[in-house]
Amino acid sequence: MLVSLITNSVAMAIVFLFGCLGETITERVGNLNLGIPGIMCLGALGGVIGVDLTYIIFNNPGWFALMFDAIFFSALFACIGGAIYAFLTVSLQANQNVTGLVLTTFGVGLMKFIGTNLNSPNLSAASKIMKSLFNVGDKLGWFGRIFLNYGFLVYFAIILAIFASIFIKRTRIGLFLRAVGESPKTADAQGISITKYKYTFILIGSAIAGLGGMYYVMDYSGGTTFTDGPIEAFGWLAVALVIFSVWKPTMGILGAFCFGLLYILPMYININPIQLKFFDIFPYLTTVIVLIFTSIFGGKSIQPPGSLGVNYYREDR
Amino acid sequence: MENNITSIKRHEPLFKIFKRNDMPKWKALLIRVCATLGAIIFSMILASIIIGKNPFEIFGTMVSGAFDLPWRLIYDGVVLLGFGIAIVPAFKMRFWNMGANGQVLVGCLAACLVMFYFGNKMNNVILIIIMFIVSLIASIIWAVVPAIFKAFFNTNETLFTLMMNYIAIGLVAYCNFVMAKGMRETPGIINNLTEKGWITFHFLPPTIKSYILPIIVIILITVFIYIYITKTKQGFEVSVLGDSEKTARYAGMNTKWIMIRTLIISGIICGIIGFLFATCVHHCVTVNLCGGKGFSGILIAWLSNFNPLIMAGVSLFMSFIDNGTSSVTATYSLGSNALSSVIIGLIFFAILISEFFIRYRVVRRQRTTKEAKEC
Repeated sequence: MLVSLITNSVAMAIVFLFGCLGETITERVGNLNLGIPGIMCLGALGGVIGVDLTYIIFNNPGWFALMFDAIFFSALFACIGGAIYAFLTVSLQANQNVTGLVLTTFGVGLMKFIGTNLNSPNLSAASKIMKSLFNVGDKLGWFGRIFLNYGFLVYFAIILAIFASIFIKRTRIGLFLRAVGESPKTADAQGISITKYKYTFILIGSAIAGLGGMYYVMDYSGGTTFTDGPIEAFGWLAVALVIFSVWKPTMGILGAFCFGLLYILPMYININPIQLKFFDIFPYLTTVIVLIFTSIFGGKSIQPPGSLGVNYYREDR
Repeated sequence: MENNITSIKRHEPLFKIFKRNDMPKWKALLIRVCATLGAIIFSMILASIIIGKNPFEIFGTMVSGAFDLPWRLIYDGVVLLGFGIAIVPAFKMRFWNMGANGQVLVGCLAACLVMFYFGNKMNNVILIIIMFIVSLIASIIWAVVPAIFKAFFNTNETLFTLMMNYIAIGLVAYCNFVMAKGMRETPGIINNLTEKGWITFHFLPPTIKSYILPIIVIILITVFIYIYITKTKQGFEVSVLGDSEKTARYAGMNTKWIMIRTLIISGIICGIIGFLFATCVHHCVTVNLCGGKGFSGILIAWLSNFNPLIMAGVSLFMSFIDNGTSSVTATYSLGSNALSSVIIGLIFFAILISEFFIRYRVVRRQRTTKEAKEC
């Protein structure tokens, strides 16, 4: 039972991890993207459309075509959402919170609007193929079942998080990226192109967050109906997780696991269904508590990026 | 020298943007209207591709559907206006209150709990008064807790209030389950037979009898908040704090108390809306009671620049889109009413783009000989 609790928590956690990773990268470059829930919905929609297209083109597609199309289309759709956000906030100086909320409204709406007409039986078949790809855990006892019992995207997310952490901390581009987020004026004086950095990393962040939505549909929920799924709520949790992880991708892995555990745990506790309902608020409550704690006892290393939420307009002084 | 000039020219960006304040009001309005129309045309084309029908036909269905129930249209618009107004005082202070949804929900929940458990135990008037007080208290708590932490520890209010929404939703689901004794998800409409704790005007026609009181109350609140923000000392303090916290502090204002006081006002408005939902309109509380109205309220407040008349217009327009698309959804059996979010999203994108051209002037790079000489 403990093993299945852990595996289910990890499987759940990856939805949050993708979203959190995308938002972390976006916030590190100084843009608070409240459109992440919408972008995750767009990613889910894109993934489903990609899988559908694959089935239309090939009669019996292999794992590679499925995987590639799902990832490609979900990243593409998410990037379109991210590009709208980046264009409005970076080039057109629109307010970030308002733009993000509009993007969320739009993304959730578009997923529900197009998605309800897209309910094909292919999804669950594709999901089975995608899930079983790297799933070798059953042969290796409890160790295998805890660590190697997932679909490809789970490993991909964790590797991506570690890679992002090294990239932000240890590379030159990562340093510039942090500089843009902390103080765009200084970075601009250094000759770093603010526009280029903001666009690039908002788009990359959006693509990663979009994979979270696709992962939820194609892997976690096994390709069942996705339009009434709680992707929007997961998106907000992912935004919250960025704070929980104090803007560090590696902490995001741990935080995502905690959130996944909090989300899954009630199903494993033997209590009556009334009390079970109460457990639904735990992830949100934890986030609030972390938010309060980091603001009261926050050292310098766990503060948000300096220019978070503020647009950069060169002529403002 | 010649070389030098060309190298300077090469680094000049293709477009330069300048801030401007000189656009006449009619022109700004015209740009916004054009953006809205463009977005509607675009979304109609999108809808016609998905649904597979002529866009004019869809638009016709939308318009006739929206005006089918005129009181419903007005009521929805006014409720949206209420959400927007609840956010305005906090926004004037640059306090991002994302939690209007949750604040209204807990207000409604508190009123419903009182209605459910004490409905048959006391006089109706006393019951309604208690419901009113309880919902105000609940909403004030929901609004003020983030404000207290923001005031004393500078906790990020955007995410705090956002999380409070979902805590409220969880509480509503839990309390509904408790009220239904674990048999069903919700207890249904509370006091359906006795009508205890309801405010109904039976002498009015059924189309308006439950809508009339919320409409009147919210319009009164709007007028009150407008006066509060523009004409009173407290309202002035709020806008000073919004412009610059330091200025407010140097002027000797108690910024912490102003922040908390303003959020109490937000909470009171949300509490009144929640109370009206419980007692006049829905007589029950559900997790989807507010939908995305809290977020819509933010958009309305921001894009109307806090002008109550424009806010009313925008709210009515959004209610028109919402009601119109729900009739489109029903006519073409599309499942959920998501078309409205798509259209509203597109309209707001278009308006955000047009805001840029209203606030900034874009000048294309020019290579005139005169400029070259000046260099």
